[in-house]
Amino acid sequence: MDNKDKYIKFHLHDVDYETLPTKKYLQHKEWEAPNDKKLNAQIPGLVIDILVKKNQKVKEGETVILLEAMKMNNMLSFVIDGTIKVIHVKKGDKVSKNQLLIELK
Amino acid sequence: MSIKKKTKELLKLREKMQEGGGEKAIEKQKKMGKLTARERIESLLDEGSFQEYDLFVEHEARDFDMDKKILPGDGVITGTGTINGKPICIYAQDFTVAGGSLGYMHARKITKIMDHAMRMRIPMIGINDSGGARIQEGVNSLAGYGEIFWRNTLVSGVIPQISVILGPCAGGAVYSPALTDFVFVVDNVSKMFITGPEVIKTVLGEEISMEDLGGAKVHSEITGNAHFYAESELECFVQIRSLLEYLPLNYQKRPDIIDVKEPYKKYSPEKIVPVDSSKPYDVREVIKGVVDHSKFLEVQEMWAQNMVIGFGRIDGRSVGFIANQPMYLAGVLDVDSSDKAARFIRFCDAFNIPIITMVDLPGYLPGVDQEHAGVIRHGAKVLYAYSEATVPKITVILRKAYGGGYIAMGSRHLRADFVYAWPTAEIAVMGPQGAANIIFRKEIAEAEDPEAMREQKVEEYRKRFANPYVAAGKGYVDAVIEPEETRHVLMHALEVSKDKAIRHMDKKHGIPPF
Repeated sequence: MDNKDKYIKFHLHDVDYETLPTKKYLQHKEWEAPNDKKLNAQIPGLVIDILVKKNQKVKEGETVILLEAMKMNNMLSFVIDGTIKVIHVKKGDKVSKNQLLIELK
Repeated sequence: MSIKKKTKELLKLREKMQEGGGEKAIEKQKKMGKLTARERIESLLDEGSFQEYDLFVEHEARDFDMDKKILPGDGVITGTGTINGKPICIYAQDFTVAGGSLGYMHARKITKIMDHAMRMRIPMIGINDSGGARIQEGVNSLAGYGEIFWRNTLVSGVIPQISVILGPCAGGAVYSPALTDFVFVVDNVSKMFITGPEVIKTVLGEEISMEDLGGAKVHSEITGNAHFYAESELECFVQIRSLLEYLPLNYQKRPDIIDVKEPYKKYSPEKIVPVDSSKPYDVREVIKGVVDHSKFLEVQEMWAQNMVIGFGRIDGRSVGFIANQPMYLAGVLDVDSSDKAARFIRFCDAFNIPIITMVDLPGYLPGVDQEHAGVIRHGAKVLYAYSEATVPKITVILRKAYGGGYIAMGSRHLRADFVYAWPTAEIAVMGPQGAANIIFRKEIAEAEDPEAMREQKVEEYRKRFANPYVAAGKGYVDAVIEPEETRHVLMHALEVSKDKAIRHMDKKHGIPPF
């Protein structure tokens, strides 16, 4: 079989299987634990306004950024209280899905 | 006026209508690398067998100056014909007429031929090439789609339904193919999606081409929406003709029994399958070793390759194969492969095609994405489909059959009629390594030489459990067979079970996990 050089070691229940990966398996992304201190864009969109500044204290549920997506203005907020550490985007930026927007200290 | 003259008039009228959208539109269709609707029907069906219906149907739309427009055949050709000498009903949307857009009469032509297929109990083939709803006809056009979907569902499991995507098929239109049994796509020609690139761009800002969003490759490799992929329309028609050879006309009939030719000698299990169950091989070669003339028609070849499904013949009888593929991901069950197997089992069961399962899997694919994608829900479909199926179910365990995967893959417990195992079979809760590490954890940890102890215990477990004889000792496996006699054993099992009859418990219908 001419596939031999493409085989991967596929480890399952203490056995290394020799096998080919599927396309989907290769595309699979490592899972990351949700981090309440990071605010990501849940959908792609346009940053219309940023309502906070660096080092500003924010409360849980307080709108920190306005994101236009699906023809709606989405008010994004943190699920915890905290202080703004970094703002990764600016007004007018187009952001993609899961892009990191703002981080808390 | 004489009959001759009247007939001449008819022929003239017919010729004009059969031109469809006219020269310019046909030229445009050709430039897109597509055949016309009429050419498609002629190439697919037996030569000269097509009988057209409703050539003179006209639309009744009045708004937007539609009353001044003549749309030949209202953008769709319908009729009956034969493939491999057997009757079928067919429609082909004509993109040269108003972009193949679906208006009320267009839909009525389709539903009329579908009703005909249902009454005559013969397969229905739909060739899709349409810009979508005819906007000028408003809700009437939507009603048309709804009527088609309802019929797709009504005849599901009564007659085989085949969809061929030879052009755009977007928005609501995609749901008719999705409700049918087999979807055929052609590279660079087929385009299927719910919302197109333009809408995605305006709403989400994501830029993508039609081909990357919903082209033939995407639906064959990623979404699993398509069952057969071809490089050209003509290759696609050959695939349709081959598929129909394995299917009966309807659920009350059986597929034809055709002349038997022995498989090729080169597909000998001894040459194909390594005894070490961590080593890969192509299970399709094992299938080719048992089917007539080594001819195997694989379904969904490019999607969820860790599970192989498809049709073959044994002793002239059409059978459906479901097999783990050790060549890909060691043959594990996962979300997609479960979906793939479950739907195929239900198709075979509906149309009296016996199911042969070949088992060689280490279990389920671990991973957060699998769990979060609902591998529980999808995996349950396999159990449901096997348990529910009443056609003859024959299972051959080739090598490993571990844990839940053993139960799911057509086991005795889900009422397989025959369960055979090769001497290389390992039927156990898990492989020797994993099992020894759990059962003898303490001994291994406390040993002077833990590695030597581990090896010894793995070997002990392997000898005791990694074989077919424990399961055979309980009667869960009916017979341990010589790999080389597999075809012979399958022929026998099919012969014995040809009049299998099972009465379902009385109920309206079950609730499968979908």
